Amino acid sequence: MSDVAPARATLFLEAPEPEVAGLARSVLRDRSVRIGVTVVGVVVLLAVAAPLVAALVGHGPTEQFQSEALDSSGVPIGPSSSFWLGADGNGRDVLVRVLYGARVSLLVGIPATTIAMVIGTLVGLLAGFFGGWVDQVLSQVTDVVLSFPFVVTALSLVALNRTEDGSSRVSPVLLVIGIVAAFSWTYFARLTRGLTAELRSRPFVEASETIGSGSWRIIRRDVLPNIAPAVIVYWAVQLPTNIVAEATLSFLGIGVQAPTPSWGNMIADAQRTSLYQVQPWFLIGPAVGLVATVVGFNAISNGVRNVLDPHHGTR
Amino acid sequence: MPLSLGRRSRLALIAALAAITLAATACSGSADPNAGGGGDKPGYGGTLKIASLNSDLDALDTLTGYSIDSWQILRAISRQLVTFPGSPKDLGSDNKIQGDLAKSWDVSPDGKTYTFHLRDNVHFSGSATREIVAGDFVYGVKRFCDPNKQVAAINYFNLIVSGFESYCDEFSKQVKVGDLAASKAFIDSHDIAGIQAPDDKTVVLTSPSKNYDTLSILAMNFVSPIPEEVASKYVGDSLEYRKHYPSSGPYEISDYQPGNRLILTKVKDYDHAGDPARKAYVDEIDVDFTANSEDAVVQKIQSGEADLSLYLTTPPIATIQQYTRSKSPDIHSSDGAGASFAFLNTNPKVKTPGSDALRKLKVRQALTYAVNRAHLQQIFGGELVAKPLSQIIISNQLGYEDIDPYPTDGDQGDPAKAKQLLADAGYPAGIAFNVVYRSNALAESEATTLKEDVAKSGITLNLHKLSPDEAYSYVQSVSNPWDIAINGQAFAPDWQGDSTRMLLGGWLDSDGAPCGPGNPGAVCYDNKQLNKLASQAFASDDPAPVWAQADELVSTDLPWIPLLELRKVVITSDRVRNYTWSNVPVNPDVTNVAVQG
Repeated sequence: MSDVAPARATLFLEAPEPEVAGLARSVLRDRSVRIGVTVVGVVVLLAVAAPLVAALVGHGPTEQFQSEALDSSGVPIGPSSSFWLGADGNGRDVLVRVLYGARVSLLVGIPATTIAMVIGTLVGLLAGFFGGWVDQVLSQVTDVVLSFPFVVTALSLVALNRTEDGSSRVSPVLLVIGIVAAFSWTYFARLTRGLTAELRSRPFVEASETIGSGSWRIIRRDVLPNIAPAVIVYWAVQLPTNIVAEATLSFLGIGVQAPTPSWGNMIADAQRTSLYQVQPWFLIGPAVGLVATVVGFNAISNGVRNVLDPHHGTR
Repeated sequence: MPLSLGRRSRLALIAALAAITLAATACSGSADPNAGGGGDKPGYGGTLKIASLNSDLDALDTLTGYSIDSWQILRAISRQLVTFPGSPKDLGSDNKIQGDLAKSWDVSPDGKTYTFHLRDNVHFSGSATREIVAGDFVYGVKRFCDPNKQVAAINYFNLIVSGFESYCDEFSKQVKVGDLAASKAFIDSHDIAGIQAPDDKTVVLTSPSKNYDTLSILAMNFVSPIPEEVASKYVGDSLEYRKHYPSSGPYEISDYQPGNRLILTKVKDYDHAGDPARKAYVDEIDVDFTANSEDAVVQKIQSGEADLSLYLTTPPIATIQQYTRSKSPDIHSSDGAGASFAFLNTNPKVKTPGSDALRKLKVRQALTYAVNRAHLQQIFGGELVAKPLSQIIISNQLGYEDIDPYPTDGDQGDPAKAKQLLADAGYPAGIAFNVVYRSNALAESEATTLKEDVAKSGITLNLHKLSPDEAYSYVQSVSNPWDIAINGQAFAPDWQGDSTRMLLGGWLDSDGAPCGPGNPGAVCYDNKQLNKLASQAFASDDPAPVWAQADELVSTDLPWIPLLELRKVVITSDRVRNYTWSNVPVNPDVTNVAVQG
């Protein structure tokens, strides 16, 4: 009997270990993940290669070529051998701008979502693990943040960011990252709180407490590894939403500022100047970039969820 | 006049997914060259539908209305002593001033006193219905300097109404803002010597000096009859006032929902014989404020949902191209729309490195050499829309002579010369300026093009965007250290022809427009030589050569950097008949166009 008891104890005390390598293999076997990874991979590659393309065609992202790319009445040319996606209303190369715009989308989307994930997970862990007044306070804070209207709050923050001379206190890109993160951590917090609260009452956590493990150790060793896969999937779910949020802010003129290209402000330019009517690529270029990135990340997150979610019908 | 160009935007969420659909509809709305135009005889009746780019009117009170767009609407709901009847040809041809509510007038031999004789039996409509009398004009002028709401262009009246300045000084001393009763009491108990109503049918205007353009000044919407029994109850141009609007024109406000629509209905049994300048063909003028982008306004016109636009400075380039290529009769263009300038911060209280540098003539010269006006002309839409401008006044203003103190080859600028001038001025390594621009498509395009072009001369422009709502007040405040302001369109002439006073004897004349808030473009330019020439021109029987001399003086001294002279381009639906330009609003004349069907 004496040699059996420790084994039983181990069974209760150790948290179930996710099989990382096996998990990665099954995730990559999923078709939609493979499609998503390919699409996102291409977008990332093109974003990284933006300066190379700019050098190849000889057009910088803000450089204007009125004499080559606009006719005498200011109408931009369509796709040609030197301007592969044509030009915009200022005689700038649409392709080069779309590629630089991808950089903005990823440079804003990835850090913003990561920051939101870190903050949201921390808040959710604390609320779910400790419960009681900690949970009440943190859940209330989350609800209050959720109740703020995104665009209106963003507009106010942008106004506050301006100094007297019209310049910005912090770089507009950092501000956009901050705004997008501030509005998306709440989703991570709610998810994590629910998962943690559920784990909190599981035997292995209670057992850890019984043998005297501290709260932080339990969170770090038992809870976090178990909720991490779900949080990472949610990161991929939230990322395209945040890329669209950046595009929305730039479209409304409060995100990345002219003449720096971003998909949002390019779409806004094409639309308000009506130039998409004569040069459709001015609109299609950034729109395809945006749609491809969003679809790519959505495909990845769908596939990962298929693999991880035991309740999902297909697996 | 300053333009308030506004634009609300749409959500990108929809835009991203709708983009391809939009592109697919790119070719919709092409105009039928055989339809419309001005050939058919205009008929009475119908509704003139106007799509507004802004979500509301910036002003509806004749006191404060000072944008070409508010004036386009005010043309229908206010009348003046004298007016212009409209012209089908172009803006400059609408230059024959005629009696409006005044059927005739006499001028004293010294040219200082004008006596106007009013028409009989002309009535207000809307919130007042009684007959319009001479006292209503006097009251209108007496409320000009009410501290609750001051007239938009006070400098004109300081110069043409005797006793006006002292009356205004007293008004501001005695009446506190917000005290409507005190305002009314002051107006009732004080007179302005220079404007009197000896009887109900006579208005007498006395000026301290002779002014060749007195009648033109009176043709602007400011001097309109206002019934005191209505206006004294409201703060000027408040929502309440707009909803209880006393109209003196052929239309009255029958429905007004800010952000949604404004409906003007023709006054019942309107006395056409008593209003020779406004034919008032249509029964109703319906302004729709729900289009929120340039594109949406244009599409409403192309689909026939609207006949005219409001607040659309120029139709988008693609639209202009579509209409001109198909030789559509529904596109109209005219000289005289105004100009685009780079305003320089000349306020001496502002101490930024940029504005300090701009006080040196060589830096201003470097800036004008650095600008590529040919590029700007192109991004504005080519020669139909704009032409390079190298002087302060525009080609249809009195005194214009085609001059270019700083010529460059093909108006493309001269970076080498600009660099040399900067080095001579003590900036061999180049210089940076804080530039503010209005967040409309045109101004943004202009600002980014300027930024790229002047960079070749070692000049860095740090661009900062201002929303249309805040642009005017931001530029006026001394505490905001901007160096250069870009507006797309910087001004439209207050009237066509002899309106040179507006710029050379108004905005830039430190006697007429002292430095400080309330001064359009925050102009604190002070040039005694110019002031002297302006005062000579005002009283002259032949002011053109004096203005030409003044123009050369300031165009060389560069208080602003002239960029482009603008032409007015208007598209209409194919229902519009009898297309007519209106001088003062620099827009189509809503009281003289007709609609078919």
